[in-house]
Amino acid sequence: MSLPALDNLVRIGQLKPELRNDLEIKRMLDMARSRLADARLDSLSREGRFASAYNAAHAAALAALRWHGYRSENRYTVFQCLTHTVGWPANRWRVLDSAHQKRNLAEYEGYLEVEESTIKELCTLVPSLIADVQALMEL
Amino acid sequence: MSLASSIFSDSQSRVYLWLFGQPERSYHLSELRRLTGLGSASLQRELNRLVESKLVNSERLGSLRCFRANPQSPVFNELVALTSKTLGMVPTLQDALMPLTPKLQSAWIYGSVAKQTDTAQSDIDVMLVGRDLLLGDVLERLVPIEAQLGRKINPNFYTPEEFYRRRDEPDSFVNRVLSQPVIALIGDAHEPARIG
Repeated sequence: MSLPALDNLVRIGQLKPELRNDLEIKRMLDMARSRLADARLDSLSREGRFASAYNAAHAAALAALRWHGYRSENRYTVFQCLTHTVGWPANRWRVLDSAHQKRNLAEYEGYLEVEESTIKELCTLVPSLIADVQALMEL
Repeated sequence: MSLASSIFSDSQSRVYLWLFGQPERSYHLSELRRLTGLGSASLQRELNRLVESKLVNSERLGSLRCFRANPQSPVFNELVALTSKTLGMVPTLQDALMPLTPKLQSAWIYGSVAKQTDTAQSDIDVMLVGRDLLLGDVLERLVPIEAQLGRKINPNFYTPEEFYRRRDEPDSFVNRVLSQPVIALIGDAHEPARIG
């Protein structure tokens, strides 16, 4: 299902159109669920749980984008598009974008300071994102 | 009622924010219409007043009319200061965050804006400490003012326990922030939990 706002992003080179592939979307959602389960494992380090929650969020957000027939390698764009793909208000997807910035600081500057409250908030947002994407598939 | 709304009318505050908020910048009429969100008639009325009193210069650049604060006016410095104190980044952020108190105990600007090395494209980095709050609650207050400030706001949120734990680590991000200039918005950056 093509969306005018996303077609504009295609025009400026931020998104690529790519036909929907239901198997791929299902794989991504399965991955989001298993990474979310990892994020809730108390035996893992805080950094490990954060990375799992973040990856779960990205997999689910990308699944939503793929459902609409687009793809992006840019993670900020994938989260930004949640406004259009699942109708999320900015204050919700910006929490995911903020996790993305934290992860970049960790990967590129060695700063991995993840707080418990951040993981907890991600672990409440991701299940509702997975549910919203699942609802798309059942349309 | 905010400080700004007791001094400026709504349309004045929208025009002053740009003309005296960035006094070195020159604006096309259409640019001001877009930035202020005002209709042509009310924008024209405000501009005419400012130009007639010579608080603002109007010049023609080809076919375009451009407007810019007049640095020669006797109250130029006062208007710039008044605008920054009542309509600028700090009061706008304070107004947006105030409803989150007392759960929000402390908030301050850090990074390039606090160091005054920011450009028009720099994010506004804000560190916040509070209890029973989510980053999503903070973003719900901050995202709507981004368009007005023309910048992305980048909040970094901690519970008091997390904040004090990080402050006890010598090379932590919190300590790096606190060793550099900050601009207080709510409470005290160095003793957040003592406030509120």
